Amino acid sequence: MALLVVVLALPTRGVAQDPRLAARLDPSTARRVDSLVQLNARAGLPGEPLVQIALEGHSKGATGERIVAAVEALGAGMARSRDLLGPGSSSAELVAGAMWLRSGGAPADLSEFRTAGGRRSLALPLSVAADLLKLGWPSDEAGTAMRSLLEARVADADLVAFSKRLDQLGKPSARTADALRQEVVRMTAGQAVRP
Amino acid sequence: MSDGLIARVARTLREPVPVSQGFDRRLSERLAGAANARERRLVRRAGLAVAALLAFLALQLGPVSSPAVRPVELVIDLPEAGSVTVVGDFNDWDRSRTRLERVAHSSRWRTTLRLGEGLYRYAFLVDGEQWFPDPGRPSAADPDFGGQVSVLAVE
Repeated sequence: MALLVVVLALPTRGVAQDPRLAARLDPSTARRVDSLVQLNARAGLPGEPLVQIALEGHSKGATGERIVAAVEALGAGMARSRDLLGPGSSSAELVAGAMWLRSGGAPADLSEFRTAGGRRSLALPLSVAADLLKLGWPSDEAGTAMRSLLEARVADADLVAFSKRLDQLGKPSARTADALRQEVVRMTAGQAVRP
Repeated sequence: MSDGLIARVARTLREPVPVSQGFDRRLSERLAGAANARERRLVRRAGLAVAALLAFLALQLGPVSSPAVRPVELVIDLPEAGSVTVVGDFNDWDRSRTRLERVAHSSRWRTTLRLGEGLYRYAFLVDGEQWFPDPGRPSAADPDFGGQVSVLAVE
């Protein structure tokens, strides 16, 4: 019984505030961010991405309010990503999934990407898919393209080259949409595009 | 209970419990000389309790092995830059920790990072003022702080 008391008295991980928060943020913001990190941890989600986005905000001179809002949004995005990608998803996949959602990607596409991708990590494919949205491609075009590329088992390096190729096509239009579809067909037929 | 915690518990319980030769010898003698079965059971249970405590303590201390890291080169062409750093998840977004070196007789700047498996968001900071994404890697609009962040996935 005495042994049990000693064991229970030992501190468990996840209770102490990350010292990087106190070192870089004002005390109020550090406390609020830490609360969100702990909340994420209790939900079984990784806390490190939240700490990093807080540090990014500090590095870019953001206010405490903006930093807290960013941490909240990423935490919500990761939780939603886990619902759609599955409970066994890696931290990298959850962050990339949150990027897809926050860039305007359709939530349903995450489940479809998981099905199309099989057992491969979706971290890089989701980042490329978010890149397509940043370039101005509509969510349905980007989602359809990425699904086809995943089903064809296109390698990560070729996915990156694909997004760079699209960047060179210019602003999305009816003409470039045709070019995008042709690129996808060529890549899924095994003809990798490299710069 | 997360998959990671279950894996750590399993790994820790598979490791042998370190005991001194003297303790092992005394325990063996005690077991061999124990007159009745009840005394032997008590000694074994005490040993299991010690092993469980050591496993719990090992979990609290965290994993012993360090993850594999690999070199990743970052290069950017910036003819007008006076100084370039790379800032991101791999250096806690410290603006000055990771400086790029200018490649001799060129406008390219480069550095090599050593990174473990994961997804890293980052950007280049030029002359301490301007943020640039990495043209060689996927990037996404940063909805929180503006501009773009690049993404590097290490498998």
